[in-house]
Amino acid sequence: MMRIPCPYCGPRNSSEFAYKGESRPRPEVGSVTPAQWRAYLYDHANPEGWVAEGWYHRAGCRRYLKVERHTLTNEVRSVTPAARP
Amino acid sequence: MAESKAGVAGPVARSPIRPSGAPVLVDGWEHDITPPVCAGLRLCDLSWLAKVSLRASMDGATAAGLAVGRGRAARDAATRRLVVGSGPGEWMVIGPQGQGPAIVAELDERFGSAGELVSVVDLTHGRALVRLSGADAVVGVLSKLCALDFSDRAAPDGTALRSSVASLVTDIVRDDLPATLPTTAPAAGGGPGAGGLAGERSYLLHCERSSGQYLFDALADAGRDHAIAVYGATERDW
Ligand SMILES: [Zn+2]
Repeated sequence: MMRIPCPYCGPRNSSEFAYKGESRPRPEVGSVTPAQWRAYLYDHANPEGWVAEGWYHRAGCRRYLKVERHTLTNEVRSVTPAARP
Repeated sequence: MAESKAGVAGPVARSPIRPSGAPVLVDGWEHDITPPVCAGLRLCDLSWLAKVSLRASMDGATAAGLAVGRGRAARDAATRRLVVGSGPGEWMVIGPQGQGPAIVAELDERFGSAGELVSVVDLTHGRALVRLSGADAVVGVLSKLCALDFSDRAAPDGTALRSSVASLVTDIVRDDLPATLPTTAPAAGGGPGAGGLAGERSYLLHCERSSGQYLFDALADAGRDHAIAVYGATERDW
């Protein structure tokens, strides 16, 4: 079981969150090629180590969060609110 | 509140939760009037209470005006309304039956001209609301369905949380009941029992209307070990 310390709600079970995947820059929609868009959607780095991810606190504050998680140990070292749109 | 039990041909509104006995029509809402069979662990439906959602910036003028922080709930003694800080930039005002439109108008007037985006929506008919009361057994029941710490240290009276209860997204508000039954209207300056007696541990739980019966059944089932009593809400419950 993995716990995510939500900056709004406190430590919560990861089952309260929806996983949104690795955070990386979204290509410019107007000029992106299909290949670039496909790579953005599906080609993940999936490193063994620290990765920055988006998580959505579905059953809590309903905020998007940026989580730094170690993919081997599931240790979470930082959780911050995602930038507001 | 005026309780006219006549004059309406049929039910105008009905809770998503089945009453345990024949319901009585009170101002257009069907009320369960089953008396509680015990004074211990109890569960009642309060879906007919007015519920108004307010959303605004989490640190703007509206937030300052409401003066209820995230994760806290405060009751206004004069209006009997409970203002709940249910999330970042998100509040819920729970009030006596039928006050939804009045609360919306009042919040609109108070915060609509503050110069920031504020949304006020009457969710009375969109949410199911129940009350679970009764000493320490309540914690045992909630702990079967929810992973949070409900101890007095972590979640004292006036705590507001949203979490997963029986796998359902549910708002939980610790709203202890007064230690003694109010005789009629609450007397000015505090009635008997206002002198420091601890209240009875109690929680309000609310979820989407369509999941109300499921939440109610899950709580009733979890409370079976403690001989939970399902009853119709009394004046003390709100
Ligand atoms: Zn949260």
